[in-house]
Amino acid sequence: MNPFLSPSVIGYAKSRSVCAGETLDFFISSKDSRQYNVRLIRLISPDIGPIGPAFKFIDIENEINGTHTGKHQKILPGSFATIPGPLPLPDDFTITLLVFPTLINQARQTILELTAKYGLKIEVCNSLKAGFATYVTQSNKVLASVELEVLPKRTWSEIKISINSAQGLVTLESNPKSKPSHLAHELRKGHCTWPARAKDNWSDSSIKLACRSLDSDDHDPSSVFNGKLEKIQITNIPPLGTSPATIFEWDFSIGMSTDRIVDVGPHHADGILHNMPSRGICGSTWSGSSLSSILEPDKYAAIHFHDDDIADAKWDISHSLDIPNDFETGCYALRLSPVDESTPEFYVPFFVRPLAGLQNSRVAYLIPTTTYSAYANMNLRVTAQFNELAHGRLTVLDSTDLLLLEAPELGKSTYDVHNDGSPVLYSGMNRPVTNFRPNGRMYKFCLDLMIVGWFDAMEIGVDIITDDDLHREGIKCIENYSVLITGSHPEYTTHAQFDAIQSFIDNGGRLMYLGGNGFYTAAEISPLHPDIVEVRRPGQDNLWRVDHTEGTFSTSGFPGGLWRNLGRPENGLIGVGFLTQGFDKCTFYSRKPVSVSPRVSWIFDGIGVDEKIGDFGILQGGAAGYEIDRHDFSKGSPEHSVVVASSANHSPLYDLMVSSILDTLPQAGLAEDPIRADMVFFETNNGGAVFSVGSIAWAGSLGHNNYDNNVSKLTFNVLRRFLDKKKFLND
Amino acid sequence: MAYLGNDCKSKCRDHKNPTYSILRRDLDKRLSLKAMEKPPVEIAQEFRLSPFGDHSPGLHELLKLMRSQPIAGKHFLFMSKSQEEWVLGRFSVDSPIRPLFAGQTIFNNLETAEWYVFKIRWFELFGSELEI
Repeated sequence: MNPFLSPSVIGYAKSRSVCAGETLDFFISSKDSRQYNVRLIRLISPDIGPIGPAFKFIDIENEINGTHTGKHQKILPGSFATIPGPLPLPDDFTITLLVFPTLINQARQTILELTAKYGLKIEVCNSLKAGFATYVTQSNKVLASVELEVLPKRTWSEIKISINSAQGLVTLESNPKSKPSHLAHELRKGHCTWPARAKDNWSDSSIKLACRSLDSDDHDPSSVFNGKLEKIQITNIPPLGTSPATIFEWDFSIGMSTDRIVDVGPHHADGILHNMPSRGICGSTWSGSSLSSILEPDKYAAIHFHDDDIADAKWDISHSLDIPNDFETGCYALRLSPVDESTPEFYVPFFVRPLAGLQNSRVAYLIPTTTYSAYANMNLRVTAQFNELAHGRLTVLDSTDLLLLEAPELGKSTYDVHNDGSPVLYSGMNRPVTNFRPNGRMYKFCLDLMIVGWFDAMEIGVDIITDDDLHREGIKCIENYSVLITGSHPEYTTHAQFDAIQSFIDNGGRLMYLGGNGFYTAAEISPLHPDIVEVRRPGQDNLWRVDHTEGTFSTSGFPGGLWRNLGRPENGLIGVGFLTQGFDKCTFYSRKPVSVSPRVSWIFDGIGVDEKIGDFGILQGGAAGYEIDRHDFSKGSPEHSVVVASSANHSPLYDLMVSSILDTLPQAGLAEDPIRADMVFFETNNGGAVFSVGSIAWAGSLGHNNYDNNVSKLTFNVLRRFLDKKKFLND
Repeated sequence: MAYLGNDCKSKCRDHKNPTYSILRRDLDKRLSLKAMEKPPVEIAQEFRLSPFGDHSPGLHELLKLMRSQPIAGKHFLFMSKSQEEWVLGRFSVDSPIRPLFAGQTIFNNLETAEWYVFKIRWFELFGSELEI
């Protein structure tokens, strides 16, 4: 196996979560259609080489295992719309479009393609050379063209294309809207003629928006338009002295949460969007009167198309796995490799819940799949200039990471920007994902498996559930469990998930938050696309922000952003709130004097008062670090919550990445290091309780010394008490 | 292939490697935008002893400059064995960016790799070898 080659067999599953007794489809592509091997395994702990517990997995006997005939499957990126028709167009008509190009280059990007009988097409394009242009083609041969040469950048222009069939005349008109303080662009107009002058050319037309077709009728990814479109209208050309009548009018302000574009004209010829272009986007009339696409949808009537949008690879099914009823709940994966083992393996993880309606344990482990989706195929980690600076160390990549450079069609995460510089708002898992695996960087799933390994080592039976399940089922998904344990980095949470966890602890449930930077940012999951997460971070001062104007989720209408800015700070849920991050060095916790009080001393059973807690671990040698949270009454930590241990002396990198400069300003008489992770405990109503560690690196210390260490001991102490039915009382 | 242990003393001049031949011109162009006085050699010694975590203000500033260079032509580590073995790589200058591996410089710990790259960057920034 050549470790320098990227995996040649890659794939994805239809869903991340499946119950025993259900069927799960897998989609696999093999380079050059070579044969490939499949192994079904249950994952017990991650592959972190020699620095921690050995990679532990169990081979599962199943007919899916073995060698299979390979098939290469393509991904066609780029968002577009289809209006299938047949559209009953007259011989003479005018198309009016509002266009806002965002990436103008040499390539001919197609804004609209109208296809009629006999292969006759009208294609409206833009490019650096031709400006706005219209081509009349037949069977890929250009019959006539008109180019306006000048193309105003990032400016709304009204484009009109008029067809006069009797004269074989096409007229193109571009009327840019002026931007404040910019010199006005003049109206431009041109025309051309084509020789075919038959009648009834257009009576059964169809339209593609933002791309042109390939011969196969697939869309051509190289033609996809980067920019915004708004309100497309087709009118007749009336006799002089009469007004034109609308034949079709697609109003993008309607149905923003859907894949439909609605025709408000007499024919109701709705179209379909593909690959999820951005909706809820400011249109040409946006005025600043509202920040909500729900309150003023007409101001958000634009759709933003990108040539690198990808919602679903839409591959053919390669395997359907029937999950037997007796399958144990847990983390599983298909392990894929070429039959000659010439390239590294690729993993397709998934999670099995107990048989529907059954529960095996009083403990549920919540796998943060919403966060995995938000980070899926994070190009930034490979290509961002600041990556090494922010981590304080050289960037480490492996062959699976480098697949993103080799195959950009795999798409991006919500930490990336599109090719035109606009933020990626939607990210899903229905495509091969390079950073969702039990190896590679010790972060997210790879690190969450350390907690699974700890369950195994401590012989703690848990039921696996995922964010996807929690979003869909709400509190019902978790209400019968006594203890809910989180992963190491449950950063993104939907409104439904947040509500469910809040209800769980309000009803007496016990929550163990074993991570950092958790419950920080609101996300949404589209009802139409349950594997796609929408993230909008309005006004955040970083690369992946959106403007305040576009902070409303198109999939739900809820406002996006940080929970603390939405009136629901994570401090209220888990007692701590995100403070900062640094990835160069981790440190340990020291107990607070209060930790010896009977209220919380059981947390430290078997741990000395002056003992350093977690001065070891696979993440830069400590349990406190990576991304850390701090207790803060002023930010919503419950009045009775108590900090039982804290870290200190983090590196200066943590100063660099603070969420607010006010967090680290020198303050007279400050007794504590302001940059720290706080370990917090508090009781909740109805005898419940919350325990939080406030650090991603905690999970990385659990396996030290074969799970025999004070991080493991402390975590076990908390779980043991949380499983005790004796109610917590705040006396 | 060369394994580099903690006692790595090899000359680190990536720009003389034909795989990276285009880089020198590019480096001259972009580094000149943010020139820095050559710091005392003790700064380098400090880095060698402790590449991660807290540093003196002088080393902190130097690392900010070294680590914030554009991705084109930037060094990275390719993990060839899980958390056990790393190979030095460099991104291409031309677009689209691709990984380049000139020969194989292999490390079995991250501290040695940091020091190796630090010496290359020192040479590229200040035009002289670090004689440590």
